[in-house]
Formats: sequence, C-alpha cells, structure tokens
Amino acid sequence: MTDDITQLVILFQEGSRPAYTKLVKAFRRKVYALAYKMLLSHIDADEVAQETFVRVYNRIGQLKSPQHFSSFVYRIASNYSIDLLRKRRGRMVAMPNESELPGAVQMALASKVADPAKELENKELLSTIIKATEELPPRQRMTLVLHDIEGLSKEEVARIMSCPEATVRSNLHIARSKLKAKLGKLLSR
Amino acid sequence: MTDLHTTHLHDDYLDGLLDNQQKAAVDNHIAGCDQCLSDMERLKNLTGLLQGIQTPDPGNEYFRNLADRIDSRTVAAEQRFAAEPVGTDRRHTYNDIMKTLIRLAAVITLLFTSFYVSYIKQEKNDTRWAEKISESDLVNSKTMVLPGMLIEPESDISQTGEKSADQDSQTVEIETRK
Repeated sequence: MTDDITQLVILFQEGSRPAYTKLVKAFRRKVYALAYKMLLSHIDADEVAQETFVRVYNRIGQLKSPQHFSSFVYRIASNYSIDLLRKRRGRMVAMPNESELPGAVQMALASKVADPAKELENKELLSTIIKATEELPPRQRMTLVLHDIEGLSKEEVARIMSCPEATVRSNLHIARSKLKAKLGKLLSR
Repeated sequence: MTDLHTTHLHDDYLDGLLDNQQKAAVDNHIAGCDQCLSDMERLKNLTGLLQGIQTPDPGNEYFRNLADRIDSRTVAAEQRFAAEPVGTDRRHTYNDIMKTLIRLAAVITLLFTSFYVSYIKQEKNDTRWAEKISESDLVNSKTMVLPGMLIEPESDISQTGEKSADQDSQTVEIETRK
C-alpha cells in the first residue's frame, strides 16, 4: 500500500475527518466492485459500500497496522457481503438487471469482439459462470472472487478472511473443481 | 514423482507455487496423459474467464453521490452513539462479546479440570490407604491369634474340686472369649 494511504490512515486514526473522506474516495470503487461480484446486484453492492465505510469509521481504532488498511477494508466488506448473501440466499440472479444500474452498462467478459455471435456466446458463458458461482458456499465464493476475479494474492486473501493460507488454497481448489465440473465442456472450447 | 495423475498439483502449477523440479515433472506427465492435459486446459480456461469478468461501471455521478451518502450515514451513526446515556456503551461488537464468552468458558474448563484431577488423586490416595490398613489388619490379626493361644489357660481339669469354682470361671471366660 502506498505511503500516502498509510499517512491518511494515521491521520484518520488521530481523528482527521478530511483524511477519512479521502480514504473513502480511494477505496469506494474497489469496495463496490468486490460487493457487486459477490452479490451480483447493484442495490446490494451499494448497501455494502455504504455500510462498509460506516463500520471502518467506527472500528478504525482496532486497526493496529496502518499499512494493512486495504485488507481491513476488504475484510469488513467481504464479511458484510457474506452476511447479506446468507440472508438473501434463494434470490437467484442469473444476470444482473440492467434497469438497476444508473446507465446502460452490464457485466461483461473482457474480450472485446466485433462478432455478434461471439458476443452472444460470451454472454451465455458469463451467465453460466455466474450461475455456477452462485451455487458455491459463501466463503468459497468469496475466496474465488478475491483471488481469481479481484486478483489478490493468497496471503492477502488469508489476511482478509482471517484464516490460514492453507485454508485459502483448499477453498480455492474446491471452488475451482466445482466450477470445472459444472461448466464441463464449455471450458474445453 | 510417479506416473500417478497430477490433477492435485494443477492449481499450484497455475498459481506459480511449484518449484522447477515439480513443474517439470507435471509437464512431463501431462505430455503423456490426456486426462491431466484436459484438466489443466479446463483450469486455465476457467481462471482466464474469471480474471476477465468486469464489474459494470455505474459512472462517476454515482460514486460522488455514494460518497455523500456515506458521509451522512457516518454522521448519523456518530449522533446515535453520542445520544446514548453514559454507561450504556453499545459499541461492544459481537466479536468482543464472543471473545469474553470464550475466555470465560476456558477459565471454567480449567477450574473444572484441575478440580477433577485433584479429586481423582485424592480417590487414589484413599484407596491406597485403605489397602495398607487392610494389609496391616491382616498381619496384626495373625499375631493376635498367638496370644489367644497362649492365653488359653492350662487345663485345670486335673486339679481337685477345691479349685473347681476357679476352673469354672476360667472356662466361662474362655467360652466368652470364643
């Protein structure tokens, strides 16, 4: 984490409100993105984003190492996302509802293709992946989101989820195996 | 590495956690095993797809608005805490309460275990004492037989009738002892 962020965290811990505001601006997109990938709903992601920073404000005294602020924020966000997921389980969202979003944007796969047929194939593939990840238990899903989608290291994931690295590896292996089994031939193309 | 399948290593292989020797062994095995080759390809495709998932961008306006709403919510939370009477600090989180309960349970378990262990020791000590006492009783009872035998009066039956009263009393005594 950059020195600027660490300095802001120290100031925030000393009671600086402007430092807190700057930290919110620095992390709001990441928290929203994490929550969205976990909950697949703009409304839920919005709720997680708001509540996460309120909790960060109230619990900043618990953070002993300012350089681990990002893990601290992610931990709060992931725990709240998991709680929300458990409460709202059963509400199947195969594809995000575009009308929920303040703009004509939707989740997509990174590969930009001009071929409409390929684009449709990507859409279907994405839908299948999302459906498969929805069926994972919350902690396995969060491990997969943090490591394979957000790109965090296993060490960082372990810190965020407050578990040993071996548990992260195990959860990741199980989650990937389940997805491989569900996606089947789609992955062999 | 043997020629057994290497599927259990494919995750670590892709995550860069294997050393050169292990990687080479997996590569060699995959070259001759369709099943493992297929698994590795599917895993690569899966992780590639997952890495390519993009979050929709709600726009800068949304995030500006989000920051304002976070600010309002934080202020509201501060005011809520400030309004609570002194002494009713409800900032103890669920984690704090659980930690306290766990510590309490650990202390109670420790006390119970130490009490139980000392109780068992006491029981064993009592048993040993009882055994010792019963052993010494047995020894003492054997020695007591001899005095009883010695005490047994010499027979006065052969004596004359003048002594018959004494004889009778001694006989009574013996019978009493028996």
